[in-house]
Amino acid sequence: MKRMNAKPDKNQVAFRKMKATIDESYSKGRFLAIGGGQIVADAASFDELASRVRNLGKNPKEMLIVQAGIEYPETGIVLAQD
Amino acid sequence: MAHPLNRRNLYKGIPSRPWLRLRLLGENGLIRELQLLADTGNPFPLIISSTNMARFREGFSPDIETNFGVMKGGWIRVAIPGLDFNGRVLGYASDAAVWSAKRSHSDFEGLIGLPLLRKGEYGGNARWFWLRSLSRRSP
Repeated sequence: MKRMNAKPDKNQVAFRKMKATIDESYSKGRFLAIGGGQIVADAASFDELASRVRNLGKNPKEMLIVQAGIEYPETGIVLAQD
Repeated sequence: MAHPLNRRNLYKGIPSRPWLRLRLLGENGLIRELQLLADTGNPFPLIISSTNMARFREGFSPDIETNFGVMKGGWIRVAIPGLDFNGRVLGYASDAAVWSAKRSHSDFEGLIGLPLLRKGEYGGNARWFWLRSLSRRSP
């Protein structure tokens, strides 16, 4: 498996560090937006979250958006292709 | 009563591959229809090019490191023609994976994996691969 050689994204790193805290602090399935290495908004749905992020003057397209309590594997295999 | 097939495509490419059409839905009514290699062994819902990801991404999602290198995650709104599915999925960008699919047929612009195929009922025979809406008789 090839190794990541680019500098890791700040939000990606922050999410991995905060994952356990997020899962303890928010109900499962709740949407969170992470920007600048910090949680900037949370909401019950993706659309509501995007609206809240826009209201903060930020672009949801540039946020890392995750759901609390959901596992996001760090590695995986695209089985049938290589 | 027989359940109607919503998607049925002749295998194509060398070697022959199952495939489906899927629409990427963007802002301001932007729609792009892709032909995707259907890969039941693929645990990722959707793998597309970095160009399509940049155009249709509604937000980033966690990246994943794979046998194709790092795949960049993103939330993508999609619709599968003929299937009752229209919603956001976790997609991944990997030009290497797309290029691998294109080695079978140049029309392929990515892969659709098991999590999306399971939104319906998929199957195949010697000539065709299909995806149809969930049957009420499904176990």
